Amino acid sequence: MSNWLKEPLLHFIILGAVIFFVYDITDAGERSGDDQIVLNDETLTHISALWELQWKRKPTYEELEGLISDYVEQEILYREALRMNLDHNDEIVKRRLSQKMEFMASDLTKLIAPATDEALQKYLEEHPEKFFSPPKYSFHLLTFTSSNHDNPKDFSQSLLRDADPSNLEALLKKGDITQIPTKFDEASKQKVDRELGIEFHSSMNELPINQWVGPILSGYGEHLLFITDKTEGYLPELAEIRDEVQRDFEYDMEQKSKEVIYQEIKKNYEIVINSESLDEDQIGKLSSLLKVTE
Amino acid sequence: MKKIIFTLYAISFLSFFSCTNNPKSTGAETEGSPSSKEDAISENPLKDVYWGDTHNHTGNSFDVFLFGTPNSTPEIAYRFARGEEVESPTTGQPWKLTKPLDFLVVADHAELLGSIPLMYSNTPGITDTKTGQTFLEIAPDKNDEAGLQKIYDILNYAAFDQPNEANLGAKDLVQDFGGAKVKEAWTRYIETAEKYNDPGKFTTLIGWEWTSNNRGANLHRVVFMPQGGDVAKQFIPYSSLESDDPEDLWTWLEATSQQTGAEFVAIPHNPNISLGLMFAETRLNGEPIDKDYAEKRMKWERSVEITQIKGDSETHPVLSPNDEFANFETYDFALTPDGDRPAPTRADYVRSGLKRGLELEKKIGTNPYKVGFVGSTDSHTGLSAIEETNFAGKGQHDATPEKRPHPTGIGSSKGWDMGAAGWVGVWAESNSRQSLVDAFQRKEVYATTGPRITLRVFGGYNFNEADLTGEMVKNGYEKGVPMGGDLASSQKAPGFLISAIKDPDGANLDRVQVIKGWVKADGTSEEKVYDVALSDDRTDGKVKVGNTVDLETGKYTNSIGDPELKVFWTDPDFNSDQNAFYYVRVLEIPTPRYSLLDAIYLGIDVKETGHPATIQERVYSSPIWYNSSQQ
Repeated sequence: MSNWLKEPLLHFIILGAVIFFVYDITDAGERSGDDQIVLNDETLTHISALWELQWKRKPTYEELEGLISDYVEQEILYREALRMNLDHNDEIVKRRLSQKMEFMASDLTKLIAPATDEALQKYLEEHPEKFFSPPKYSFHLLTFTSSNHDNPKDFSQSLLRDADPSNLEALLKKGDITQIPTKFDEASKQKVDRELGIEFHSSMNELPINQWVGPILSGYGEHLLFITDKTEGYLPELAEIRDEVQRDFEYDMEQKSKEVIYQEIKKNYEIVINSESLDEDQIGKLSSLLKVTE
Repeated sequence: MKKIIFTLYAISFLSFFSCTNNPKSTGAETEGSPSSKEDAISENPLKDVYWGDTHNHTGNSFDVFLFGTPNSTPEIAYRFARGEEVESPTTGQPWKLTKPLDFLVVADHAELLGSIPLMYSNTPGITDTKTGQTFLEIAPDKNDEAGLQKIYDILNYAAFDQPNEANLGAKDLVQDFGGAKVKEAWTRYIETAEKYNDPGKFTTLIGWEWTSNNRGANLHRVVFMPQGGDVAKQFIPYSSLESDDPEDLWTWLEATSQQTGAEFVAIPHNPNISLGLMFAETRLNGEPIDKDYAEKRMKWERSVEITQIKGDSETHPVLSPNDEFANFETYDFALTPDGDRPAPTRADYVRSGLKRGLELEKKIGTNPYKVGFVGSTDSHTGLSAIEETNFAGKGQHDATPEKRPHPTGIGSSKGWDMGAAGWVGVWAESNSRQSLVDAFQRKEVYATTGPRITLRVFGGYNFNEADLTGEMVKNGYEKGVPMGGDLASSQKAPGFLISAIKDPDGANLDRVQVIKGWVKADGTSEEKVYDVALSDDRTDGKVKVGNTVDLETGKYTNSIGDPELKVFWTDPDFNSDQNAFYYVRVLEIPTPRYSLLDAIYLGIDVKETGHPATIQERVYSSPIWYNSSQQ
């Protein structure tokens, strides 16, 4: 896991933000001046920004009027509801608040793990398997199928035995006549796998170039190959694949940070299972599922 | 204390905004780059086949969410189709394709697009509407499967203004959840599609599904386009809440295309449950089909989805009694609330639809049903996973073998009634948005029920046996037309160059067939199936290829069948006065149906699945038409 996820200061900032947020909501009913609803520029900007987030443009004045009157109504009913303790242990309120925390976690991801060049470079280096560009091959291919030969393997082996393996022309037209391609130019793994099956590209890895080799098995039958050129696999520079790296980085960070933030917050709580209706086995299972510490 | 926390919060809030500014500026760069990326990739004038799925649903579809799969996202759909291992949104288990697809259309239902997730996240303008409040009362918890199913049932009535217990109508839905309110979900989806479009490697096409369910008749159309986000963001996808008449959809496509420059492809699916309406003799308003209707339909709907998870629509044993392979993945569970399984009509299957097209052409001068063939999944999980060995199900309710003996909530079907199919093969110059869509427009596409069999078909008058060997593809394009094309009038019978190569990771081939349909002088039509190439040196198509599937282990061997079948075939029954179509069907040797693998896993008798232990997977080429009046 990345280092930033282990950084205590960041935890503090995140948790601080989260706690403030919750505190801000739950504590609101006790604040003084609670019977006052202030419409200042800050409020108006906030209302207008919320609208803009959804519609990607500023509201017109008429729209703003409607938004303000909705806001005032919501604020009054909300405060009244808090006064009447309607939020207390209400299923819907609980669910909404917990969802809100989840949303915050995904927004916070971008805050605590911005896709800077350094971060992306590091991510690229830590996940070479995701971005490695496999070797490309240019080669000639002969195919021998069981439709045309009783024993395609023996047949191709004897062809190879009787020819000068370094002479491309010697065998060039000796394969079965099929619509399976006979020539590949700088073919990627994707191309080779598509045309010749998912194992073929990796079976070419150790083959020498500039000579006939084989037989190699595919879903069609046996093959002889003459590789004329191989571009070795490599890990691209960040600049070449920045979009791709950023896409994967942000996706991964979001998945991870949600879980990390939850686990961090969870540390502050003790989960106690105290039930008559569950048997010991069930309690044991539940405890390990919730990772209840004894 | 509170002050300190507030300060920290304020700092982090500021830095949050300063960070989001950066990605925005790079975002602007990426939006411009797809075209330059597309320029850089190489083109093959003789074309390669690219495999994809034009019909995949995620949690933005109301039904995916309501079936209990809220975690399905376009992001996961793209990652899975690109070949990555993902956590299945239905089961949480890791899931991966045997080999990547080349492109994907995430085609969520336009109706209420994204509204259900928004409703559950307390979104002003959605949650607090009449519809939102009513639904939240019925299912306050987004994890309550029964409650969600109830909302789904209500929607199926409400959307078409039929009585329902929530007393909601189409107007409520549009006002509360529809129209401009889908904009946010649409915009978010477009941005994800842009992010995952990698020309040359993996293409995302922006699209949606128009879900007309007129009196329970499936008249759904998937719509997509080659243009990017800058064009797609200029409109909100047309939904059946606006109108459930396809002619209104075409009017909208025409107008929007002119306004924005979008090139739309619309593809109808599941004629098999269209209740006699997909290839009807009349328009939806009951008037007879005329030339104007035919021309409009052929402008927008040049292909039909012939196979998918909810069954195969090529033909039905009742309609094609002389076709011994017609009884394949038949699915007749109508989307009506009464669980009806109506008898097939000629309007419900593609082959009879093509024939009817010829008949109508004779009457009105234009063929309204001159369509190419597409296979796609219609998966409602986000996973385009339809390999028999790797089937992720239609949706949440048939996601695992254990669930499949039970009702799915879709018509009166049960899990094992679903078929693990299909994908589409596209003959294109490159794997890019424009090149792929151009291929759909010229119908150079074909359908598979699963295996990636490479199928080339060319028709023409100047071919001979020698064209099959050597440079067949070059000969094909130079001297004839590829699948989807038209042949002009001739006294000479047309000849066809056909080459089928097995999926290199799959089973051998059993046979190649040409299916011909033609219209006679009296205006009625006929059909005939020709066995044109047989494996294992057979000369008589009545001789079966055999079956190597071990019912105990679910394994088969490629000891029968051939890896490649190719043939030059000339129509022996040609009549130059009769308009006709020819399409190619290639069958694999028998392999295990996924339900056999389920039965082995569950330790039950395969008979309990109600489906055959083995099937012969197949590909269908788009037809080539012979036009006696075309010079």
